Amino acid sequence: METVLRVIAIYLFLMVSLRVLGKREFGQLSPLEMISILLIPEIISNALQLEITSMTEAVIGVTTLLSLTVLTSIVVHRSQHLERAIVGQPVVLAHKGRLVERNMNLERITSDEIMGEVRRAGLESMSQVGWAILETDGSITVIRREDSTDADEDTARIRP
Amino acid sequence: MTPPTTTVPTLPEPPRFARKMKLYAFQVIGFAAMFLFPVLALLGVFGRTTQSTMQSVDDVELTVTYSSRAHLHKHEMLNISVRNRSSDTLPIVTVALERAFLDNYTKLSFTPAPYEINGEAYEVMLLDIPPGGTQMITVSHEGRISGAHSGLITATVGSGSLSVPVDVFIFP
Repeated sequence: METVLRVIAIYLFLMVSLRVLGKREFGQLSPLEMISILLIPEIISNALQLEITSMTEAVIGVTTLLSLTVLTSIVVHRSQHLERAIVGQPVVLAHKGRLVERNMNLERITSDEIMGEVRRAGLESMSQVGWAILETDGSITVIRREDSTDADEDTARIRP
Repeated sequence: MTPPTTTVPTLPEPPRFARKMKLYAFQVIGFAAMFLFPVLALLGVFGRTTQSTMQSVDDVELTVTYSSRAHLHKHEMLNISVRNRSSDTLPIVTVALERAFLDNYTKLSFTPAPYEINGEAYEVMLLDIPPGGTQMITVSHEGRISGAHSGLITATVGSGSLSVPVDVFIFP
């Protein structure tokens, strides 16, 4: 009986908390947000098991974690400098058909991974790629090159 | 001959906008409630607190030290000390711990062990307390039922007795 009540209470608590948090936190998770979200079940699972921990402690743990998530998102939204420091910036992996090797090495992205994303974007070769960008959430965005005829000319100058 | 230029392409800057903090009405209430828990926790509202209550009559002093705020399923201690303030040895002091109060706990362990457990109380007997001497009863326990609980601990010496009330809140 107590287990059922605990689960109902925690379910309602999480439902309200996550709704209050907003869509931003659950759209594209940054590494920091992902860790925060992954920690919630770790805290909650103990509270669901009787004779391990009190529900008060679980609620305090989760609200602390969610409060930090909210505070971070507010701070990041208010300041572009902090946004860059905490969330990071998109990184160019390829431009006009040429790989930017320096950035690939810094981000430890292989050409195979980029080619995989290129194919997923419906393109056949690197020469069709206008931009390949590593986004702050870890995904790679590939943008088709508008003018592919002068590809060699345009990319000849890029020697990362 | 001029060496080839090394250019790492940069992305176009995203359009700028006035960064302001805006919240939906429900978020204002929700965030306030959400922040309240860690703030109150930092202020010690949900923390464990120990309280000591003492009662005395001419010959005997009864002190009870207990967790007045505790958490469910957390190990706690209840210490009862009986001090003989008379110039004579107290041959028998009976300490009764209200059963209705202790039923809110589990994993009860008494030192010394109770000599009688009846419907009303757990009764522990202390023998031969010398003048100025003190004897202790220790009860370890874990909260079983959350909420506010009150009880009475009574020490009986001969025909007289004294009682100490205990008020506890166990967080769910």
